[in-house]
Amino acid sequence: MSEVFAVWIAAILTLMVYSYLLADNPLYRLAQHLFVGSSVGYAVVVVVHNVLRPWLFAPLLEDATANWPYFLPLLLGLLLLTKARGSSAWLGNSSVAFLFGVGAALAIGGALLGSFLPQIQASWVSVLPGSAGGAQAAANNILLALGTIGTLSYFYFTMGVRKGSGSGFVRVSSTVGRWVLLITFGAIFGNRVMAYVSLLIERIYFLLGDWLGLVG
Amino acid sequence: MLLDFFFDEAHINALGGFFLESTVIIVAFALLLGLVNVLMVHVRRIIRREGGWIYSIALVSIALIVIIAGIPGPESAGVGWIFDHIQFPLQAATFSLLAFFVATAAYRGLRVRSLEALAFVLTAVVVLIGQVPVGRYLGEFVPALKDWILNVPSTAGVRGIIIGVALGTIATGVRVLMGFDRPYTSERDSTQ
Amino acid sequence: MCDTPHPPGITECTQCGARLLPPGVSPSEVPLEPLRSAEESAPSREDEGAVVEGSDLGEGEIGEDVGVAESVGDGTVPPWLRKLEATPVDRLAEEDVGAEKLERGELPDWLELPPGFDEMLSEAALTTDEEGVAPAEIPPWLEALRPEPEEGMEEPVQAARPTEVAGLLKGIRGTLGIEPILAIPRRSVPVEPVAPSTAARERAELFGAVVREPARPGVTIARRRRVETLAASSARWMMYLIIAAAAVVPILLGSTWSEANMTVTGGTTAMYEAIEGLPQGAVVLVSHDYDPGVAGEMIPQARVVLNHLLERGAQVISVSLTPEGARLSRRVLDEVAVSHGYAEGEGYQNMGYVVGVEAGPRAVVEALSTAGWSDLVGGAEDISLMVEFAGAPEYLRLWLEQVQGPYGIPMVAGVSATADPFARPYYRNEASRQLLGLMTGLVGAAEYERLSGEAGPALASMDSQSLVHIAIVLLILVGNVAYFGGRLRGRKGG
Repeated sequence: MSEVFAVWIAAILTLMVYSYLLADNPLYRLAQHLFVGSSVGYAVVVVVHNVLRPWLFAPLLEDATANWPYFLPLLLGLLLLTKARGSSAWLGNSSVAFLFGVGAALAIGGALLGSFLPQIQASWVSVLPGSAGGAQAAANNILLALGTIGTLSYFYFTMGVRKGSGSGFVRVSSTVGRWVLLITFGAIFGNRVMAYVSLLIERIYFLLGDWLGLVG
Repeated sequence: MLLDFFFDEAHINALGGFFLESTVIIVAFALLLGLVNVLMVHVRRIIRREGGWIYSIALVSIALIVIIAGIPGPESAGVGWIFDHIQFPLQAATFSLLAFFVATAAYRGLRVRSLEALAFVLTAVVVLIGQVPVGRYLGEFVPALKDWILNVPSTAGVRGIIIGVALGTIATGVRVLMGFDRPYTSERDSTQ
Repeated sequence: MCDTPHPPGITECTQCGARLLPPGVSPSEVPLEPLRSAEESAPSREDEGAVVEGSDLGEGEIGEDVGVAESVGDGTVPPWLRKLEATPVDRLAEEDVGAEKLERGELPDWLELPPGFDEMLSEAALTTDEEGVAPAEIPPWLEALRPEPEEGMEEPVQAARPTEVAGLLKGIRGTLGIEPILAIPRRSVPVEPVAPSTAARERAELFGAVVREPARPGVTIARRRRVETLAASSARWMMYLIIAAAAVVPILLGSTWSEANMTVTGGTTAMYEAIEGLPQGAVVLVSHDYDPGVAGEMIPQARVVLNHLLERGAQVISVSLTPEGARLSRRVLDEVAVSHGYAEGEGYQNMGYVVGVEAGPRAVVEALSTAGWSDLVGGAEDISLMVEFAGAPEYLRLWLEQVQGPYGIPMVAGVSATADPFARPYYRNEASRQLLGLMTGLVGAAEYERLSGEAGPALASMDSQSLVHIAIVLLILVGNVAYFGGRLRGRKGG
């Protein structure tokens, strides 16, 4: 019985959201506020129980003297909470600075080792048919490399250099980059449509299957 | 932290590990701050009877219900029920609305006004048809063309974007660490 | 009289011999005098030596131009001047040399006012009334500085200005009035009525007619707007209906055409083979980084891959970078574990939620190497494979940059279709294999189900997906046809 009730609640809420297709209305607004409220509450619960309790409170409550270094993140965290009020916001600056410091370091390392170098390496692939695994693969590799260079030159050179100036090579590669980006954005759009359609199908399965029982 | 990234030495690893844990904890506090701030904004709206304050009552009530029900933990029955039957359907339905809007946007917006627009529209159409089984039904070349588009020009473009973003991240990170940028100070503290 | 211009200083016209007056002096002020000889003018010049010397500023032209101000006649010497005449120059000089030192505040004799000074003033005023003030002798060098009168410029009419009759300025002409000129109201000049033209009259009548009309509410316009809005809304609702029908009809009909015709892309195949090649009991780290918004794509993916992993006997460690992902993955894990004979909560290890920033994935891997978190692994090197389910590109990037790159753990990923273009460069990296396999969206889950040989909800959705895609492509076509048709019609008509 409670299961049926739960399904009906879920179905009514889904239909309240879909009412936006007709027009903006109070039911839709109510649904959105309920969504935000439950997300906020759930996130608070998860953060407190899944992060703070095992990573901070547990070591401190277990053995405060042995685990004394954990007082530092506790202090910094509490100072960060002072950012809620404008007058005391300056107290939290050291916490934010610590976060920025660690974050910047990790971001630099990660971007360098995880994105920049591997992607540059990827562009240096062989263009010889033998090692690339076929003429088509070699041609594709050449196109990949040219496309990457074109995209970079489009972003880089259109930032500082006005159209018309710059050598012929730069202008050609910027044009190539522009067309490559157009195709990229077309592909991104197509994939995005696919994603949204999949989400719609999942909801329709719920409404027709779980709620109305028309589909097994 | 940078040393910890690039070198593997016991003391650096230990200190780096401690810093990592501390960061996770402090970020958790930051998340709490943001979440509590949302609630405070809506509570203020209710007290001052500003526009839409009735909806704010619903928001704050359900948030408090979830928080109280979650005192034993996120796996408790109450929280689980609310998540499965209220939050999940609401969020899933909100994002599935986009399918309708993208259809109307495609009808109104994807007009072939220029060669560039033609390239964009053709790519989108090939990807849309090629991703689904019907594409193969229309012809073997359709999924093959879709694969080529996704693997070669699209990858080249995104690779360029990734390299650019990585360069920007490294530059910004170096600026923050060297002290040229100080986004963590409040406005009156910053020396401009 | 002959209007010949002369430089200043000339007293007699070179053409006609007429007497020349300095500018600013009217002829009525100057008494007629016979021309004097040079000898006669010399003594009078001596008498007035003091005056002349006083006015001379050291330029020394006394001897040259004789009588500029010839209006200074014998009979018109004012009384105060007579007193000065009585004192010869020599005596004045002697007095100057032999001058005694004066006490403070004491005026010298020559500076003292004469006793009859007030009388003299009144006399001077009277004489000014009748005869006018005799203009002072202007030395010739000063006359030379006088500007030439501009042509067309009239000389000020002095006769029209009233004379002051009272006060300190008594007898002086041309003073400014006490009342500011602005306070004097201007006499209004009557404006002659202008006869309007016919066109102007017509326009004025039209204007009057329009203004006299009673106000009418814009009912007609509002009605047209409502119709337009209704038409636009109907078109919109038609499109929504088409999309909804395209999604619903295949589901209701239970069509399985796509199941039979499903093709599999290289990325999904590679992912399948990577998992298929795992040894028995391999430790696999699985990260569920999605939220209910993209759960429609990700849960079918997670379900089919976890199924495969448990079939291969892998030991799953589950973690999540999003709060909701932890809960959603728990549901799927329990479902799959139960179907493989495990009790609920068994068959896998759940690390729960970690914050979704750079520190999160790194902290997870570091935690794995510390005792107490997991007895399955001693560190990152014990992980055989990492499976990442990314709802957004940034989660995939976080794991790649913080874990896969530094630790070199083999990695495969199932991504939402929105994240696919951003994941491809990592998959298509032949130089350093960052991603061994890539699965995209609900279609990827369907392909994986086809490879696994187990039909699931993903395959069943493929018909709807195909039909909706076709509907959207048709909408794009129709939109373009309407656009070009409109343009052609416009060109033909215009």
